[in-house]
Amino acid sequence: MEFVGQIVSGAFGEILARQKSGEELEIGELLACDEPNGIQLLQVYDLEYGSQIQPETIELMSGLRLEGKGEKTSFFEEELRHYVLAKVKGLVTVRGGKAVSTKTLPKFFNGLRRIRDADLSFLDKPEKPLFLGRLRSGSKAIDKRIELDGEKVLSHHVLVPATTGRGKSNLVKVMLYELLDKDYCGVLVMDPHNEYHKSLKKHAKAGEWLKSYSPNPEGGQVSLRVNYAALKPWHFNGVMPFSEAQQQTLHLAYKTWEKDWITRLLAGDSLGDKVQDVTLNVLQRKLGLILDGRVFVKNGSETIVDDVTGHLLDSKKVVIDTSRLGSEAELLVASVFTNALFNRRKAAQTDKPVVSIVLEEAPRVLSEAAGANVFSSIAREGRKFGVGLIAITQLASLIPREVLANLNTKIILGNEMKQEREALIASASQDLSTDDKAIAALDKGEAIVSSVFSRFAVPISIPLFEEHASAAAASAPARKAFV
Amino acid sequence: MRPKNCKMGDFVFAHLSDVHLGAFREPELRELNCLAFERALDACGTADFIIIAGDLFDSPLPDLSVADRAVRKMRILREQGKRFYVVYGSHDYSPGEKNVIDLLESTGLITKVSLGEYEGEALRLRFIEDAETGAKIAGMSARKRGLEREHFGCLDRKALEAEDGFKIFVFHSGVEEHKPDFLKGVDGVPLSLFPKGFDYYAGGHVHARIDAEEKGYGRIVFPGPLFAADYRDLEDLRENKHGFYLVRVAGGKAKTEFKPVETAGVEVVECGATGKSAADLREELLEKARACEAKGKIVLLKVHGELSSGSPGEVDWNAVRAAFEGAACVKVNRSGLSAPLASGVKIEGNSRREVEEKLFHELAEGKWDEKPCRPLLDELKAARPEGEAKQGFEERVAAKAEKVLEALK
Repeated sequence: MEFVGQIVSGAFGEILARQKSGEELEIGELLACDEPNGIQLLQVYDLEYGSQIQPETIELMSGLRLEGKGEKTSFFEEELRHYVLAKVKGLVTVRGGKAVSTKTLPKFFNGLRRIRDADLSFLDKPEKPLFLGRLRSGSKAIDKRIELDGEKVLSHHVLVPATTGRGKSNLVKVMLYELLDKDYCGVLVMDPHNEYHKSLKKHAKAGEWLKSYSPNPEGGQVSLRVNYAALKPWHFNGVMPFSEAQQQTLHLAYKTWEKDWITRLLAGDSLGDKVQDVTLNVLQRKLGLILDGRVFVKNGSETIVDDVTGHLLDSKKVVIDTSRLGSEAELLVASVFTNALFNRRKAAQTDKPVVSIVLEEAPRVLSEAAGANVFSSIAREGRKFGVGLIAITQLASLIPREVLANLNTKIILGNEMKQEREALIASASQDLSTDDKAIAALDKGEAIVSSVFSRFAVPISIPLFEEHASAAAASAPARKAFV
Repeated sequence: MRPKNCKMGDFVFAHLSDVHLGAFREPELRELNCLAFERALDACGTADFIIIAGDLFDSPLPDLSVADRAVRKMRILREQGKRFYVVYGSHDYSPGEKNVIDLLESTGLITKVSLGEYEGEALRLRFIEDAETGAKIAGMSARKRGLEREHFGCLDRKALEAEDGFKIFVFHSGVEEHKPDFLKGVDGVPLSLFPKGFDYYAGGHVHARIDAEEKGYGRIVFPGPLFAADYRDLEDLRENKHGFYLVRVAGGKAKTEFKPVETAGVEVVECGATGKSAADLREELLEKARACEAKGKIVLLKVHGELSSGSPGEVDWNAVRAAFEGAACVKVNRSGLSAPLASGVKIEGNSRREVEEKLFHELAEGKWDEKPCRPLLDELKAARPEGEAKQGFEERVAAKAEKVLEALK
């Protein structure tokens, strides 16, 4: 048996193991310990030095070497006297091919080995898989696909927190690419950098499953134009601030003019004595800024909202290019589609297929300051109707705790900010209290998946999208005939 | 032929689509459809050429008497020197088989403008140049179930955009950005897959009139159905004129003029049946018929609701139709009419066939002979083969069903 360490002391959740000389354990590395009642899988969460020599003696030896008075001095049987101590915690116990929670300490002095394929037999492919990456032990990717039950994960919301440059977009692209032709879910992607359409159209089945909308459409994208008549006063919730009087005026205008309410407001039509001119003027100015006539139009495109929601309920993946829109216009577009989808779902007798909404900089709509809006409603009760969020953010700490707790799968990428790590650890589905350093040390493309739908917080390595897509690409299509 | 790059003179062309000749079962409606086509061609007097943007016929192999009548009229115009430029529609295209459009092209009566071939992954379309006017026409035919979208995705748009002159793009597909409300949720072709810079986009397939200007593209026009192809079209005919466009090109600019085609007025009569017996419903319908000024009109009779007793079959529909005196046609829509729910019948069986036979037996209760039901059902549930005209198929099935019943007498 190739042991890399041995248990020497510790307690439940904080076992100390001595690293074998010549081996090199890493933070996040997965180890196995063969026990009479199964195999315990453990993970290294911290490393420190150990020595049998008194500190004063070590410091003296160091002085002799550094000051040139004993370069050739060395410790007798150094590999026995100095070593590395790894702090490890139990993840799960594998018994009869099934994973159960670890509730016992491994045998004292038992050897630890690196995990093998056979240890991971419990990681079955779910019927409706959501691929996230490959299992990672420390910094080494293992050839084991990590797939969770996509239907459950997506309806119970996903949070992707990370600082810039840690691979958020790459992760989302990989997830969407794998989901593209899955008929158990529809996904609405708000794409602020116009990158997802370009990436996803490489999929062999993009023609059938991908629908893209853009204010500057090209190569199969549909013009992103929303008719004024599709707008409702509540679509502005969380999008831009309105005073109490302005909100009441919006609702009065909608009640009075129905589908023409925006046109009439923008035209400066009067609502009678009930509304002061100054209120109308401010509203006209505010609405005029966001409804600039490019994306929100007076004429045409009456079917876009029904088309998009229909596609989503047909399990299509819909990408909305918002790269040339201001933040408020982007949120308004997202709000219009999301409201329509959520209303259709509430009225329907089914919660299938699950529909997920990918939203960048999620705190814009999920923070306390954003107030009540359709996205916070979905975060709280979307699960019942099969509608979930994939919330992407650099600042998870801005999202209220009860909302964070509702985002039941967190794919945590590297994050240097302690405050952000603390918010994530406090709301994770597993106890990540010992993983603070591991999260800070995550390299680009590495993540920890904490989900109520996984037995433990799973370290993963996310493939580079370009490599992943080219490996998955189908052979060239057959030559077509035209008559 | 005009020399290349010469200054183009003024000319006129007509743009028709969705004629759907042979669409209706009712001979009166078929007649009106033919009449609409003939009147439209009569109104094309000033046109140099005529574009038909798909669905000239309602099926790839239409009733020959309908086709004959259309061809005779088209031939008169052809002999006057007018040219017909046509693409397949979703109704008159049949994959892998010759159809009436091919036949008409073989005779030289029409010219198909959806010409091109794949070079690698790129679909390169060829222009047809109208010799008299110099107009350049390229087109995309339709496929069943909107499969032409795949071809649109492969179009070599740059090559089409680089061509000079007055260009017309003929197609038979919904444009995603210009769908009427009743086509929500139905996939169209995104505008971004169309070549830019054409002077006129002659559309078909969408049964609504659309005339829109698109920045970077040009005029995108759908005339809508010339007459009607189904109940919805007939209902729409009550509110909106159907017809075609005459397009006058002057100085390279296209100006459209919609030309309505008059056939017959439409009267919609609605009747709720809920809580009424079949006999009461019949009386009410007869009364409404007598009160209706139906002379020369198409009457759309819409009956809906759940009868309190009796079945829809007990209403004497022939008598009701006849009561609309002088009507050009009475079309009854009773898809929303139902009989009181029959008490449930629980049947178990090892196969569908066994379940069907047990069900017939159960429903007959010994009061009538269930023997003919099985063979009759077998004949009636035969699917229509691809390419066979709907009417011909229905007549064939009806004849077979009659044979079964005859044999059992």
